[in-house]
Amino acid sequence: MVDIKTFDELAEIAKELLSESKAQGADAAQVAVYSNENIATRYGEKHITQNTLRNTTEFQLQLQIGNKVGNYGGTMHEDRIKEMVNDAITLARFSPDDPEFPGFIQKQPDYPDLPSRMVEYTPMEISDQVKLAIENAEINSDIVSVAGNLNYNTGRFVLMNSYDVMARREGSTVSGIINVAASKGTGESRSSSSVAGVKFEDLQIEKTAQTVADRAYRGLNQGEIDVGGYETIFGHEATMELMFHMGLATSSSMLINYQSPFKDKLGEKLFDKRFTITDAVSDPDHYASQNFDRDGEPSYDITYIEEGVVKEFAYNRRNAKKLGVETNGRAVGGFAMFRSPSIRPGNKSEEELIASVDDGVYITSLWYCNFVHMPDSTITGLTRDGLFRIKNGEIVGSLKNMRFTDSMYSMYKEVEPANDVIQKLHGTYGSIFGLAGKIPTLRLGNFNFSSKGKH
Amino acid sequence: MEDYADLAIKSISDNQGFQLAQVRFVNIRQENINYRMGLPFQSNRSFSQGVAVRVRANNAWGFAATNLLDKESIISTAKNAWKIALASANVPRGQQVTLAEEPTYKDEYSVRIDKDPFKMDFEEKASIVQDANKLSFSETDLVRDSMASYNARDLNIHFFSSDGSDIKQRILMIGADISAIAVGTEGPQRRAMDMNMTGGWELVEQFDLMKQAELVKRESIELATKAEKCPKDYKGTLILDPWQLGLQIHESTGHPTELDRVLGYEADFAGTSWMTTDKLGNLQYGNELVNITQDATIPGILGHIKYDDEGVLARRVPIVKEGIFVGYQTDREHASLIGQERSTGNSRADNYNDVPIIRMNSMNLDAPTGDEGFKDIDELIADTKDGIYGIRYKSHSIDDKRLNFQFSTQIGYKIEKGEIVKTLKNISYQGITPEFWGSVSGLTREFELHGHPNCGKGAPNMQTGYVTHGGPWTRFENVHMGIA
Repeated sequence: MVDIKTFDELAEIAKELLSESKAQGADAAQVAVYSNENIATRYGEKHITQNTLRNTTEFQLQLQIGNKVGNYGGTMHEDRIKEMVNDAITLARFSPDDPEFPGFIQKQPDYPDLPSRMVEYTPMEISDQVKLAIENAEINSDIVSVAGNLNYNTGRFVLMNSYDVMARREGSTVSGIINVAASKGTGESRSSSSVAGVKFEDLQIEKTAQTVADRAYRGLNQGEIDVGGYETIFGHEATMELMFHMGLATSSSMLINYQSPFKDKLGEKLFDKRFTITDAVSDPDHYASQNFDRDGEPSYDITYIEEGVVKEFAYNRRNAKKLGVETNGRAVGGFAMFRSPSIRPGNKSEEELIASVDDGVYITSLWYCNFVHMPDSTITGLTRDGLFRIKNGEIVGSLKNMRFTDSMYSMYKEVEPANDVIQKLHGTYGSIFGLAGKIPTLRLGNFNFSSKGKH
Repeated sequence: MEDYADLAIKSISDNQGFQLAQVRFVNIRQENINYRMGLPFQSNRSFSQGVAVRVRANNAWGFAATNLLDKESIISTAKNAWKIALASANVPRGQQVTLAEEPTYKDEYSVRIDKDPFKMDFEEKASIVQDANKLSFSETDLVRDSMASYNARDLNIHFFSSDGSDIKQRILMIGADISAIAVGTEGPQRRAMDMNMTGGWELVEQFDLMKQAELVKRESIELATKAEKCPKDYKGTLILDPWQLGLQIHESTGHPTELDRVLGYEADFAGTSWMTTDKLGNLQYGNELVNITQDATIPGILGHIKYDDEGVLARRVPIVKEGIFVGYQTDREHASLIGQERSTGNSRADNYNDVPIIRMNSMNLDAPTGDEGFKDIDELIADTKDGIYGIRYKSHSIDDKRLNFQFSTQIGYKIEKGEIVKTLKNISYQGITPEFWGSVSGLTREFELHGHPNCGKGAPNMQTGYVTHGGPWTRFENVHMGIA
């Protein structure tokens, strides 16, 4: 039985915080309260290495006195409410006016419908899924190691403010990573895949484990290629990895600090006409779906890259006020970001895209990708695993990893999406920002490798 | 606390297969004061408090945590930890593991705090941050964005173990940072300075935010208006300042010597390591100038602790000695797996609801002593015929075994005939870990250590690590620069 608070219990906590804020002199306040159960199971070398269960109730309070603002957050302790509110009041009272503070929503918004998606799992059911992943990954005797994690979250969230605005949401998610190593002689090869969804069935653990293991096995006996540009197929993991960077580049927070490469380029065609990305928050099966953001603003689907043209940035209320536009409901804490990218698929299968490449490479996963100089969109990173050579339309062998250094303008100049959309959690930031995408394989006309890896 | 910890342990200690329980009460009070372009920007305070029970049973771990601190919730959390341990044993490790031995301790410890920031007037702290922020963009229209911040994290841990430890620690972390983004005809350039240590407000005063404000303003403008781009595909001599050297140590020495990575237990997220157990004691990691030591006992640094979150006493551990790889970072379980008698004391958890994992604390390149090396950066530059001097982190990337890296620095200088001749921007450099550390050609006796409150590790619930790195100004040869 999952041990989380009901909507009514969360609303009571929120009301108490709002009431205490008023009693201590706040003109207005807004509070978000969460109750969550999380089971995070981690495995390596074919056994469970870490396994945790967390029950937490936390809150965030923002209050204003005139144009002065105080923020306070943390775990909920009902015997400390006066003290916690007083801390926020002190912060507001002794701060100067904040003319960029947008205030709170003053009229109840009409939020889009988003069905409840609650599922319950026990620790033993989760460890059974881990067992399934390990068993299915052992496709032959060359599979020497299986690692991964499985993360189950279920919770409720209530947002209320002094103007009687109320928003609430509940839901569950499951996500994880499967990583398999194969070894033969002195050679070793690894491969990995992320999974994301609402329930176990969404993850297709057995099939994913088998696919990853097969790719690890096929990755043995690696050759090498020279640095330089190659026609490239991005597998789902690789496509998803760089969606984080697209999210940063289209964040209004990055407009304000002059780091977005798309500053002053709204409406310009920067990429291939076949490249369209929508922040599909209304999709109930999306790992990162939402009907309102952390400001309490309604969230609707937004196409931010349309046929290669940058059409929209992600805003929260604060950034929108500063930049003189309307918010589009993309507040993530104090930041603003599109987190549910859905790339418009093409007509061809992955096999057909590979068949169209005469001389190129297939990249399964990318790793440690960071902007080198964000204003010119240059990113560096490496292939993590599953780098394969393509010749005359066929995969002919595996390769040692390579480092790439390339700009977004260059790599997405020629993009052809496949028709094989699946859901992927972002490998690095998925669990932190709730970043997951429904994305296809991509063919890139050119992708630049800048140095050779050693494994 | 003692009574509740005892009740939690007793509620599970008679169960069949019970081996060890650790109960950790944690409370953390935090304060961040931020100003951006002269205005308050999302300053906040927070408080989190809770308890975690970690149990070892049937050769497996269980862990549960809650923010509810009443007796029933704590006992229920202990029982949840037991259930989790049973679920872990459902997919068991084949090999029986006996945790590395550690004495039990009864102790109370606090870092030195001369001026407690939580007992100061809020206005005093805020006005210092605001004044520095205003100075960083004053009298210029080139600085278009600037931020200044102070932050304090007051971590209080009360640790109990079923074998008798009872340890209280107060670790007050404090930091300040300031940045300026100037926009010139060729686009924006950012310059930032920061300080992160353990101690009180006196450390913010020593950092001198006003002095740092002048520096970031001056150098961001210089970068945006006068600096030349780093020469393209330049191969030659590179000098790193202690801050950037620290990043180099963190990424290419620290992470690959975490034993959980080495043994494959971080393969799903952080990656593995090229520094495998067969290389311990015989790998030529760098040349004879390279001595890298872990030491969490240094007072005042970020990452300083007296005990880790398994109750292991912190100690000094050599990692690389005269170029040879000699040591890993471990916890009690992983130390035992490679036959080491004691843990190195690297088991840390970010908060009450985080499970302890192997984390770096302080790892530094040792500076030469006596008459060895160069006195300071001026003497090192004077000895350099042709090269580039890179300062402070801008961007980083390294592969999952920690071999191929590409980093860039915020600002740098071209050196010719022993003198700085011009300022450079967008300096990137790339290398392979043992080749890079094998190319060290000069160290200064002067050294600096810098704290970094932002190391991410742990999946799927990523934890933040608080670490310190640094050492002397260090010169490397035949480095590939100007990649991007």
